[in-house]
Amino acid sequence: MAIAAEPTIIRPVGAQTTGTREWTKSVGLIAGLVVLGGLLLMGWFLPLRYGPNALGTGKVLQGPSAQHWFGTNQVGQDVFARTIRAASTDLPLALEGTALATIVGVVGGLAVSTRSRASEWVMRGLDAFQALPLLIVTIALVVISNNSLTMVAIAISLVSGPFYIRLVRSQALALRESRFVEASRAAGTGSFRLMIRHMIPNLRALIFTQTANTAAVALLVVAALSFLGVGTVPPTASWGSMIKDGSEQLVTGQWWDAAFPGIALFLCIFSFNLVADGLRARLARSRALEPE
Amino acid sequence: MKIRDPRLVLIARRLAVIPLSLLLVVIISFLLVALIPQSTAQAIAGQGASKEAVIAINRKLGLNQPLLTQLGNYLDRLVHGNLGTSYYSDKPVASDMLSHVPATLELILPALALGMLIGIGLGTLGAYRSGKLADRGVRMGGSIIQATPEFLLGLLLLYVLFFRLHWLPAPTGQLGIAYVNPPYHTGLLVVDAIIAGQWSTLGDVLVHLVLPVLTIALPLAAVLARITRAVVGKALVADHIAYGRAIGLKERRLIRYALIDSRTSLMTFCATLFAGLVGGDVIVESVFNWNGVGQWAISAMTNLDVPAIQGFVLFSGIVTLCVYIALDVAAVTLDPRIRLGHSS
Repeated sequence: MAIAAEPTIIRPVGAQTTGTREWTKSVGLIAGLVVLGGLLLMGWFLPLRYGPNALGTGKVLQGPSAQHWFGTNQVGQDVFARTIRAASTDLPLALEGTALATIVGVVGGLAVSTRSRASEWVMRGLDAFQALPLLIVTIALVVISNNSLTMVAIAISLVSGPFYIRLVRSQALALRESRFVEASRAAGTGSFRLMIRHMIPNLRALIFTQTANTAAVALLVVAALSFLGVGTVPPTASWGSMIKDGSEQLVTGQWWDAAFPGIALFLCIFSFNLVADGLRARLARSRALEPE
Repeated sequence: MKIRDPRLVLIARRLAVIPLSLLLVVIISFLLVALIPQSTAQAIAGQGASKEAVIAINRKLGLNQPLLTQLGNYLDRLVHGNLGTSYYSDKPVASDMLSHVPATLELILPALALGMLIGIGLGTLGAYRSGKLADRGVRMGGSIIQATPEFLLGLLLLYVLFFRLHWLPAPTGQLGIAYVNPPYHTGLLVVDAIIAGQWSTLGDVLVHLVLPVLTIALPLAAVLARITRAVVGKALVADHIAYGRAIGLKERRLIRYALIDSRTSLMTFCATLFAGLVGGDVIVESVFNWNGVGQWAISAMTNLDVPAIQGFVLFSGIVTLCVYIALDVAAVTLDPRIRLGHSS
C-alpha cells in the first residue's frame, strides 16, 4: 500500500490576501455574526431605563412611545427592556444546547463511524429514537425536571444530536477509507490520535456548518418550549414566553407585545442560518484548494 | 431457487427490524416517564396532601415497585392492548387519545397536500429557472419562512387575516362558537358535515381550517422547495435530459422526466415531514385552540399524566414507524434503481 504524505493544504500565492470579491461573499456571514453578537452584548450590558421585571413602569398595554419604545405589556412591564434582556437568557441557553449537541454529534458520530455490527445496531437504535415525537419528549423531560435549564440544554442535544451523529458518521465513513487515513493507520497511528490529527480537522467544514445550523434549531427549541410554558418561565424575560403573553392581546389589536420579541427571535434564527450558509461557502472554497 | 425478488427481500429485511424498533420505542417511552421523581404522586395528590395520601397513590399506581417490575407490568398491559388509565380523567388512555386523532388528521392532511403542491411546484420552478429572478425569489422567500418559528407565523397570519382584514374567523378551534358539531360518523368534521348535509357548518369548518393549515403548510413548502430545487436541479442537468432536448422534446416533457427521476427522494422527504406531523403539531394546535392529539398531549404533560404521556409517545412512535415502512414499500415499487439493487 502506498504511503501518502500528510494532507497539506496548498494555497496558491496571494490566496491569503482577501480581495474585495471575497469580502462581498462573506457579507451574510459577517452580518449574521454582527446581529447575534450585538444582541447578546446588548442583552448583557445595555443600560435600561426600566428593569425588565419592573411592574407598572407605565400604563398597561400602551403602544410604542418615546417613553416606552416597544410599548408596555399587560402588567405594565417595558417591552423594550424585556426584549433586550431576553437575549441574555435565550441566546446563551441555545448556545449551551448547541455545544452539547455538537459534542454528542461529533463524538457519537465518530464512535459509530465503522461498518461493524455494533455501529449498525446503534444506528437502528437511533432510527427508533427518531421515530419518537421528540418535541413532546423534550417537553416531558423539562416538565419532569421542574423547568431546569440544564434539562433544556440536554433536550436540545436530544432533538438535534441524532441528525448530527448521522451526518458526521456518513462523512467519517468516507474519510476513513481515504488514502491518508489508511496510510496513517498503516504507520501505526492510534485511533485517538487519528481522530484528533486527521478525522476532526478534515470534518471541520461539516462541523462548523452543522453547528451553526444546530444553533438555529436550538434557539427555536428554546423559544418553542417557553412559548408552551416550559423551560424559561416568567418572570424571567424570554422571547417565547413574551410572544405567548403577547398572543393573547394580538386578537384585540395590541400587536407590540408579541411583535418585538418575535422580530428579535426571527433576526437571530435568520442570522444563525446566514452564518451557516456563509461558513459553508467559505469552507467549500478552502476545501477546493486542498489536494484530493 | 434463484428467483428471489429483490423487492421482497428488501421489504422483508425492513419488516424484520420492526419488532426491535417497537420494543425500543416502548422502552424509551417507559423510561422517560419512569424518570419522574417521587413527586408524581405528590403532584397528583396536590400540594399539602398528607403523607398517607401520597403513599396510597404510590401503591395504587404501583410506583413503589422496582423499575423492572413496573416495566414488566407495562409490557404485559401493552400486549393486551391496554394503554392504561389516565391518572386525571380516569378514562382509558387509548380511546381518549384516539378520539382526538380525527381533528389532527383533518389539519395535517390538507396542510401536507398544500405544502407539497407549493413546495414541489416552486422548487421545480427554481430549479428550471436556476439563477434567474424566480429562483432567487423562491430561495429568499423560503429562507425567510424557515427562520420564522411556527408560532410566530401563525400569530402573524392571525393578526393580518383575522384582526386586520377580517377575512377569517377567530381561533376558536374547529368551529365557531355559534355552531355545534355535526352528528358523529367519522370524527372528521368536514366529512360528518357533508353526511349530515349541514352546509353552513361545513362552510364554518372550512374557514376555520384555513389559518392553521396555512401555518403548517408554508414552512413545509419552504423546506420542500429547497429540497426540490436541489434534487430536480440535479436531475435537469442529467445526460438523458440533454439528449431529450437535443432531439427536440418539449420542455414540459423534460421537466416531467426530471420529476420522475426525483420522485423517490421527494417522496422520502414528504414521508419524513408527514411522520413528523402525525403526532399532532403541538404548537399550531396550541395557537389555534385546535383540540387534536397535540393539545391533548400537552395537557397530559402539564398534569404529569404518566400513562397518557406514555401512550402518546408510543402512538406517535408506532405511526412514524408505519409511515417509514410504507415509504420503503412504495420506494421499492416505484424506483427500479432500488429494486435492481443499483441504489447507493
